[in-house]
Amino acid sequence: MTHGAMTHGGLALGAGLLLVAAVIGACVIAEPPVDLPAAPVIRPTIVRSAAVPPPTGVITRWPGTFYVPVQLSDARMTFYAAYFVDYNPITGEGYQDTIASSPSPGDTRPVRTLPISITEPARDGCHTVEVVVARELLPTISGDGRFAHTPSSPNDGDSITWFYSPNGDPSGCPVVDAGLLPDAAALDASDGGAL
Amino acid sequence: MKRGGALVLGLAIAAACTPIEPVPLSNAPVNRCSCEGYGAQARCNSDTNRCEVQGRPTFPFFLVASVPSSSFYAPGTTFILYSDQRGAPAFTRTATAAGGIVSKCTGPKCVELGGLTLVTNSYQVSAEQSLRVRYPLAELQRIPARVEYELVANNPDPTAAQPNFPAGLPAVASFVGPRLGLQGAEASVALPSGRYLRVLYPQPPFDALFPPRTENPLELKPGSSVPDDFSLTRDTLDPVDTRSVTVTREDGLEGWQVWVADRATKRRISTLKTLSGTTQTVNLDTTGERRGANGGLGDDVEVVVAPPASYLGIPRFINPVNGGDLGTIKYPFVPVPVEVRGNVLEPDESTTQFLGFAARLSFESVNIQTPREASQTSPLLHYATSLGTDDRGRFATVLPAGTYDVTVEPLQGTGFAKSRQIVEVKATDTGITGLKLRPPRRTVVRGRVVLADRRPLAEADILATPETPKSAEGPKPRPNQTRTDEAGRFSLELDQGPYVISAVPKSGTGFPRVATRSQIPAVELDLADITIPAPTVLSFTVRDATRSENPVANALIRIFTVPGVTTTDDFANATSEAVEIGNGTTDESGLVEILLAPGPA
Repeated sequence: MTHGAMTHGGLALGAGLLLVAAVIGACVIAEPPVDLPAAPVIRPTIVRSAAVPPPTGVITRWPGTFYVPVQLSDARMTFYAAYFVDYNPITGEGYQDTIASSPSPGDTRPVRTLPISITEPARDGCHTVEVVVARELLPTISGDGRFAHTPSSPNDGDSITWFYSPNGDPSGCPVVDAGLLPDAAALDASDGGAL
Repeated sequence: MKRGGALVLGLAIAAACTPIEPVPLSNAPVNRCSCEGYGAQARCNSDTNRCEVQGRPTFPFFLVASVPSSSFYAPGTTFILYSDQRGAPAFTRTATAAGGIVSKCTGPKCVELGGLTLVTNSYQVSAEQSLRVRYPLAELQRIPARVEYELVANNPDPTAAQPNFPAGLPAVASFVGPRLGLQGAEASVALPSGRYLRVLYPQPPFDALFPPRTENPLELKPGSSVPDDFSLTRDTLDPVDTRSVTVTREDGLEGWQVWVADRATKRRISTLKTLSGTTQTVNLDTTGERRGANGGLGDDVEVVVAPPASYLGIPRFINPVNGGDLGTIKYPFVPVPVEVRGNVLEPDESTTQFLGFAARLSFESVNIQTPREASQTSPLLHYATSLGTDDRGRFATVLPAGTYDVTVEPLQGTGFAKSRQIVEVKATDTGITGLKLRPPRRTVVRGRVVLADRRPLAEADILATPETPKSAEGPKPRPNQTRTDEAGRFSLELDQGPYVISAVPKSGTGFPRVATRSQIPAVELDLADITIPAPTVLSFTVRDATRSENPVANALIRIFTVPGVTTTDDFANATSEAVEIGNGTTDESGLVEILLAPGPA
């Protein structure tokens, strides 16, 4: 073996090692050796201090659109918001609608603000407006508000409440209903009833 | 061999070094240069790599800043600033030096919120006036009064011409309750500077003795602390002799109340008197309401005679005042209320089955039957109530016999529209009136949102915001919202009536919100394509009005304008409501960027 051959062999070995090192180095970029610790997924949380209108006082003018900022642990998270006016937990009455909020391209801010347009209730007495947010709500069945009002998981969800009273008086919430207790048999129109 | 090995090695490196493909967060297109298809005005902004229209908006607008409740400055307060076609005064603040401190908030890149004014209100009564109503008090004794403030114009710069607020602007009214201060009852509140309608309402039992006091406009200058005391004296009390009214009712007036109200706003402007017996004459005192000649009340007021709050099915009597004389009110005989039962049903009457659905109903009388009067009915009697049906659309209530405007508001998801109709409620042999209410179906509205280069805009929010109908034929419709699909198409159900349809691209896409007006008919409607242009960028810092001019973080900034308005003077003749055309939230340095399209169509 000549000195030249040994030199060539050493160069080839060195180049090979460099290449292997380059491959390994390159792979480090593409495939981290260990997973980064994942941030714990927390429930969507409403930033009450930044909600518009502020929920700290009685609303005297109907704002039309309520702005609900929601803090997310993952900006890519999709969540749902259900909203209610004078919600009755027994009957589910008061459910308005549910909207989904999906992530925006390039927007990695952890707070996503939802504009929610809600119909103004009658201007009599005081009304309660409520927005419930959750990663998942119970599947809504026939528009029954009791399902939309409840997150699928007990630890997943948040809500915010406003009181609306055109004369600034909070007494009387929820709204007075002038209806009489219906007698199902007497009112059943299909029986001929009163009609 | 060596070449083959090198090739394999190269391929291995290339494969290993292939960048990790990011998971797409959204299918929404993003505003990126080049600007082909966006019109001649659009230019590529090399800093943001976005197509933008240079310059600032050329139309006047209102800037509504909602400060978060966690802010040190003005927590939970809403400021409304004005910018004309040149940006004045909101964006034309010049550097000032006060107390050796040079302002760092100068236009057009900085907007300063208006100053706050601390107002302390009190309602004082002279001893003479308290004796007059047989409730002796010390001289200028303070009585508890609740205060209502309604911002009618914001005017931080008194030299600048600024319009009054148009309808549709989210102006806020504040109510402040009385508290016990060092000198007696007072109501204190910090308010943004501007022009206000302010009303002082004495609280029970003083509401029966002393009248409300209205101040319009009340000018609040920035950065001041204003004691705003009102004294009820012989001079400030309006002439008593023109405020006397006699009320008669055969069935008695025990617990009934009477007062004078402003006809336009329905605001009470007199003392609130409780009646008894069958005939009673009372004085309804007022202050600051010398609307007619010789201090009279004028013709824009009405006298209200109302039953006790616990009464059901008994109407109010509302008598418009003519010639400033309150005169005599004879409450007519009204028969026993009628029991009303009914159903809210599908509009198709040919169906053999009663398919009802849940709704809320509002009854408002047009006139009430008065069988012992020559006219048989009276439009001066008023009765209004609201109720809900069960889930099959059945309802029951009691109403005085008469003609009613019924507003039917089917629950969301039923597919039926909010509507209004006239019904007759009259006594029958069975004593029961049956009603079938058939609201129409909601209208299916379809549309498409495209970018200026004709690409479809996916995942844009479509907001349908109702406006108040100009005619009284239909009720104000209800809002709804949906989202565009990958082809930029959308479909949603709306009530019949006037709407503003807004296409709101996802945040981060770099496109502006576009708003268009639309009258929704009873038949299906295909809207014209909504085209999203390149944005005009409104970027500025929001600072508070303290000497240190701190940035205001996490404030929601909204931009409103009125369609067709191009100058400040145009606001005087504008009949349309203001429309929101963009919004943004300030970051920790108070900076906000709002992308705007040209004004709404």
